[in-house]
Amino acid sequence: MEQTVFVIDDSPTMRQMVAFTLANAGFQVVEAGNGQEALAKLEASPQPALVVTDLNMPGMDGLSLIRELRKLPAMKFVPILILTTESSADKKAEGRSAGATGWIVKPFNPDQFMKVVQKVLPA
Amino acid sequence: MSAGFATMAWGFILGLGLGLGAGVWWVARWGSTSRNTPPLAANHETAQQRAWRQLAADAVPLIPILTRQIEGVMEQTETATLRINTGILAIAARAESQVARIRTLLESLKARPAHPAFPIETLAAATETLTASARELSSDVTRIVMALQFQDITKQQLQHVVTPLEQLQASIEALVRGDGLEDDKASNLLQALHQSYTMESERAVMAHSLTGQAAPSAETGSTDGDREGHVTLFAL
Repeated sequence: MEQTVFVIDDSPTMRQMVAFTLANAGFQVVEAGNGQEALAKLEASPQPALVVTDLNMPGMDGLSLIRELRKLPAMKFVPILILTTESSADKKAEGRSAGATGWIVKPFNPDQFMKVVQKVLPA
Repeated sequence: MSAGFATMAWGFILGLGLGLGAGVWWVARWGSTSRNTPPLAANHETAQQRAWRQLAADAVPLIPILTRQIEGVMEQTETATLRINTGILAIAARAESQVARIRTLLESLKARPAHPAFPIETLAAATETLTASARELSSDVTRIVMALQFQDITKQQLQHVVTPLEQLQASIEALVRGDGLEDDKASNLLQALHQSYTMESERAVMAHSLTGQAAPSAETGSTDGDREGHVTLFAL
């Protein structure tokens, strides 16, 4: 059975690139334009095996989304990757304390991205 | 080309922002001086003060025009990038599916009894060539996907110009209305600008500009921390 990955980014081009990369590797992808949309879609979608989220988005940002997700028992241990242009150590620390599993600075390399995905997904 | 455009646009906009910022600072100083000046003296506005007042009045309608122009560029590049991206990804998907179909066909032919007139080896060799081409195409797509992300990055950089311009507009409007500004308002704008930045290259451009140094290029402006695809894993 295909694993589901949630991809959250306010940029449609970024969502498209990440979704294509994941779909090519056999994942089912659910896209959302911000945190609120992602939470709404979570109720109607299969349990995600992984969440990939941008940081700065209108509505609910990436950090708030991660905090909300970590409150849900089913999402407590699901890996969450932040994919962002932000690279400051302070923001990374915020991401870590919010519950992120990893941080990737844009632009991403699809091959390298998939290696990270395989690394964080439970075997 | 994209980096050149971004650098030029960034240089122009930064110059404009700093120029207007200096104007706001001066008008703020002037407003503060006016508030502390006896009413009689306020009537003796100098030519320079009148010029600054006029500049502030002109800047109010000017800034929304500039921000709309920038937003227009952002929308157009996003639409264009989305179209290019869709086309490229569709080509890659089609190529992959065609190669998969040929491979399936080849396997089914191999499973049948060999016919002397049918050049199965030639077909197998052609399939291998096609597979290698598809692999090359996939690498090309990877490079294109990397390159097209410039649009998202440029859009964010431009948004980091639009937002402070709008803040600047609000400050100038307050001055024109006669509300005045606190003396530290100009430095607050700079602080807000710095806090809005998400890329090391943006912070580097600001730091260099404030110290009067030449702005670093997009390449030299980035640091080890924001190099492409830099990965940090927190816990496994």
